Amino acid sequence: MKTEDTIEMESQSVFDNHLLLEQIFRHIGSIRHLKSTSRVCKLWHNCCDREVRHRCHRRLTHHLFYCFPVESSVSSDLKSDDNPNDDKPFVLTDGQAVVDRIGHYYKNGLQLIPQLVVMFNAKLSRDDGSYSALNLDTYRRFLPKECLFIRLENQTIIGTSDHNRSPYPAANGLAGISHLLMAKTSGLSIDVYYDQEICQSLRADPDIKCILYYESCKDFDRKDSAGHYMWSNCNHHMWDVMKELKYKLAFGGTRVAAIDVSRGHEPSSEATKPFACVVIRGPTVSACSIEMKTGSAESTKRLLTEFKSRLGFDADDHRLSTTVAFVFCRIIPYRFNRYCHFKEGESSQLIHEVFPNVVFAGVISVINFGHDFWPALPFKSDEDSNYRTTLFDSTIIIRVALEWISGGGCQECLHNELNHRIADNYGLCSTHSLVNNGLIMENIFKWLEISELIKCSDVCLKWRKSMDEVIDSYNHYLSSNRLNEFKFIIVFSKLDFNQMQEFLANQRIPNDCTVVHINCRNEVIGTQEVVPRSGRSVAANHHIEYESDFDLLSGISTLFMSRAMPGIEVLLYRDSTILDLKFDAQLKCIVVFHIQRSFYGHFSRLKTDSQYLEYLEQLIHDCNNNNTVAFGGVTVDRLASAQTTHSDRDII
Amino acid sequence: MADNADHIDGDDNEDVRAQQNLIKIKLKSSEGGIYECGLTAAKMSDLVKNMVESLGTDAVVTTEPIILGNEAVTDAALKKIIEWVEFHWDDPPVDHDFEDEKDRRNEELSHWDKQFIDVDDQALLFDVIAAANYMDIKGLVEVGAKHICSKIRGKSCQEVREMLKITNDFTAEEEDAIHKENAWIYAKD
Repeated sequence: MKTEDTIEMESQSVFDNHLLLEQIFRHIGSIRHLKSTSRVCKLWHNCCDREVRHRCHRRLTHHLFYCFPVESSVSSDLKSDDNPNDDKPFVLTDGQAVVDRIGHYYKNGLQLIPQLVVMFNAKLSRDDGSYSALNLDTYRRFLPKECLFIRLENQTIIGTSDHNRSPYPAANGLAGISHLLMAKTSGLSIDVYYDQEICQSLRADPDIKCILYYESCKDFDRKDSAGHYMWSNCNHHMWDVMKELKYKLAFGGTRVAAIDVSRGHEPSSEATKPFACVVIRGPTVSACSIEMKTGSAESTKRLLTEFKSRLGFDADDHRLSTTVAFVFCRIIPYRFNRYCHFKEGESSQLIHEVFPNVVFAGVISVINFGHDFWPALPFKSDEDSNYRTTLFDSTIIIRVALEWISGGGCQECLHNELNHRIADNYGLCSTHSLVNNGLIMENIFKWLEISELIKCSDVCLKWRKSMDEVIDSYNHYLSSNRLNEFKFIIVFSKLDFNQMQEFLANQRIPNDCTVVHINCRNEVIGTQEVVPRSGRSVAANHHIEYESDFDLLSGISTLFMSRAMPGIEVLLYRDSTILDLKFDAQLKCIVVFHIQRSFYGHFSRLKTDSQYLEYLEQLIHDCNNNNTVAFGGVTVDRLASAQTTHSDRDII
Repeated sequence: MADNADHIDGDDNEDVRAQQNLIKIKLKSSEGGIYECGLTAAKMSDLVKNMVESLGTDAVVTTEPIILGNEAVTDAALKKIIEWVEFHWDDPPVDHDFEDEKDRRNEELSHWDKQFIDVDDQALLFDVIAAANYMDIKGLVEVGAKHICSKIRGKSCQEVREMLKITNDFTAEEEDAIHKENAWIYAKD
């Protein structure tokens, strides 16, 4: 039997290996469990946080939708059926089952960190036995303290979720609860304005993409001290803001029976609010809204299809973005039935047909709000437009793109064939802001394994907008003690990189780690602390700088060769040390970085360079006779220089 | 046999894979033990697969054993690994990058895998996982990862540290800050 010490050492071989840890953590079911596991040690904390970020970047919204019978006739109908719920897994036996199911999700299934939960419920009265389903405290304690929670009560709710891909109304003897969660992620900001003072703080911020407005029937008569209806004050203020923004935002909403808003773990006061105005901002958000005024199903479908084609984004793309919709259908009073060409709530079916991949939450209500905002159409500013429509259905489509897609120009990236292909291959997309030269990006990426790519995508996320941010993000990435994980790092950069040099000099780069930093506008820099080969030390932590006048790259790219790749030894040779490079059976690959020296604008080769070149040519010739060595490289004056043989600098 | 191997190299056909698995290659652990393994089974390791493809099946079958020099590849670990690949060599290919993450996460280990990985000797367990990682056997790494997950599920941080011999390198202040930030995850029923 092995001793405790041996077991500890062997434990370290697994639990100090971040690649293995990532493999382990990706199997942990919920965000809560991951967060809890992150407290074991610092390495676990870093790895768990990365996994949490990774999941939050993949899943930006989640919708739960459950129904249960509240009338005995419905209940017995369900029971009399042989397999009542086989095709409706979202119809549960009673309110407690729904509470348990949703509670279980929050405890064990949460896959995102929510910043907003919108809870719609139908036919649940505060006075009956199903009240626990309404109690915010039942759910809120499982949520982060800064998470906003809105509860909207109504007679009928409608929606789709993982369990009901086709819209199903909680109506006719069925009560229902739906929770729509929106993730806390950079690029998506959500505020809820629900009282007089807070509402006044809403400003015309051009970053506002969407406003969802809910009014409460229950508190419709509440007035402020001046005797004005509270909803009316908010309404006017909101309208002014929208006017200032020239109505260039998506807008929709509905009147519900009652509204509760609460934040975090504050004890629920259970005081209902007269209104709630949800404002969604962010560079990663796109939103549009439509008012469906047409009467027949065919014309509504045509309208929706046209709307879809003019969204300005792909609502079906769930790989690079998440799209959700809020749907507000109208109740058709009995006396109007003869004038309507389709049934109540039927528009939700049409929305589902046109947007099959969009999960939606909504209600069927008497009064809905909305206006048309189709981003891909020239907008008609109509100051007299009355957004308080009472007879029409209204829908808001909100699309949240993954942060790294939209940073700095979503469309550009999405339509960049090469980047798209990389995304297809690796399940993630490199932003154009990393390196504009897609060819080089692809060449870098193809060397990386998936886990490495995912790690690098963490760097890429922040590499946008300005180079200052790029440098900060890069420094942050390197400073999180990650360098120990790599054996060989190549950094290509363009701008002045004094900060980077200073930073690298201060890092505890492992003895056997090689760092090559190539600045393609001004310099090429390489460092290596120790070269143990032949017992000879070459250039301990030495920077090498050469000039070049070409714009090869316009950003930073980094290749990290993982320590986990077995049996690879990387050595750096420069200047006269090239002469130490000898052929042996272990030599498998020579990569050459060659920088032309510039004198008064004319490129030339130093005499010594030629001497090294001749030596190198002879060596490669000998190697090729033995047919065992791969060779390649690049010069800054020849972008496609994989075949170059005129290389005379920095032989690795 | 070697000639035969050449003919079927690279063919993914089920029968051919079965036939190929009759060819035995030798694997050598870091402790020097040499063990035989079916070719198809051995090729579940990407490390071995790359070697076989580089050297050619002939060379692998007729010459010296493939040396697996990593310290984690002990005799016992290598025996376990061979047992696993010999059982799983004809599994259908699995996407280890799980596109449909949630479903994959919820997948249970098979009964056989559970029994295989549930070893009393913790050092052996760690060796098997580290060696599988070194040999790049994704399926086995996944089995190990899921097993570790099941072991840490429901345990407090201190219990996890004790069980897996991990040193707590947080300062008290750091621990407090993390606890405060994540207070919501400790909510009880």
